[in-house]
Amino acid sequence: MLLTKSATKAAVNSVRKAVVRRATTAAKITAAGVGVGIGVKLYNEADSSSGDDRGSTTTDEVSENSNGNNEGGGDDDGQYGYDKSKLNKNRGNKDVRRKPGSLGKFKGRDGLRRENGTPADAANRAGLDRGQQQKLHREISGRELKYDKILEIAREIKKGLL
Amino acid sequence: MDIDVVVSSFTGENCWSIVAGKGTGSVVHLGFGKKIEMCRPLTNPNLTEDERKYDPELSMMIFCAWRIMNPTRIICSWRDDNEKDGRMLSGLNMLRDKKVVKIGVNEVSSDLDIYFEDDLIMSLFCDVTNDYDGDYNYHIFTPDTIFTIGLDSKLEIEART
Repeated sequence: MLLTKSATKAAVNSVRKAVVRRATTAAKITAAGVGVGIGVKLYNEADSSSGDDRGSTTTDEVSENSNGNNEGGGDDDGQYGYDKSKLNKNRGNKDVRRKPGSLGKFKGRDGLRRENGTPADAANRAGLDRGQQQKLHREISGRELKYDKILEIAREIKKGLL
Repeated sequence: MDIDVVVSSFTGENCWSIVAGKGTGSVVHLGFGKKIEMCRPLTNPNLTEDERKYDPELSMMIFCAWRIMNPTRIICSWRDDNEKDGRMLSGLNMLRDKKVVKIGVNEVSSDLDIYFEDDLIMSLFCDVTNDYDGDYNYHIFTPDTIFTIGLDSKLEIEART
């Protein structure tokens, strides 16, 4: 079949556009497979270079798909990123992350040791001797003071004001 | 001087001061013996009047693990809740105004078993073996000397200033 010069040009352009579209689609598929962060970058690059926005996914849509859309079933907690129903499978409805009713009520070993360390640190910074450390302990115990206040008391003890 | 000689001076003395609570973790200060008036009383409202006004002649400041029990049950330990109405303080208060009957000392570890009246026993376990958590297991204060059982239960003696 013989084509005119203008018809040949139009046909070549049409083929070129089809190649660009295929390349863009392939880039999107690769990006989706590789990961969200890279995907967003590739989508934007592809969109800006080709001007083709058919079926493209915006940054917002990508982030929603990765975090919020739960199509996998189960009791997935998006905030924590695990399926609680699977974790609790053999424990009824109990929350396995802590002892029931204990949140904030008891301190663990580390919590208590950390609380021990706060007055000791203030005493060291104020340069208290062991006798003065004893006095600091007796002055602050049970008062729930913040570190700055403990340090202030330690410095008063050091100066002999307390 | 050995620590067992020092702790024997607590025998027969009354435990009239017990200071522990929120903000100081599991650290406990126990005061025994005569009451020595302080130049400036303490201001802590959680203390008794005597605890605010007087220094104890003999005292013990405990940083390591401890536990109180009687022959039939465990009363509390350093791991308990240190809030005002918590198990730690209510257990410690059972020692208030009780005399020390005897004290047992482990020669190697310097762990103590302090036997009080009414069959109460306070046990100290010297578990501070590195300076990650703290530097001492316990201090014993006498009028002129401070005895410290430090890391790995090593005894340090210091004159009181």
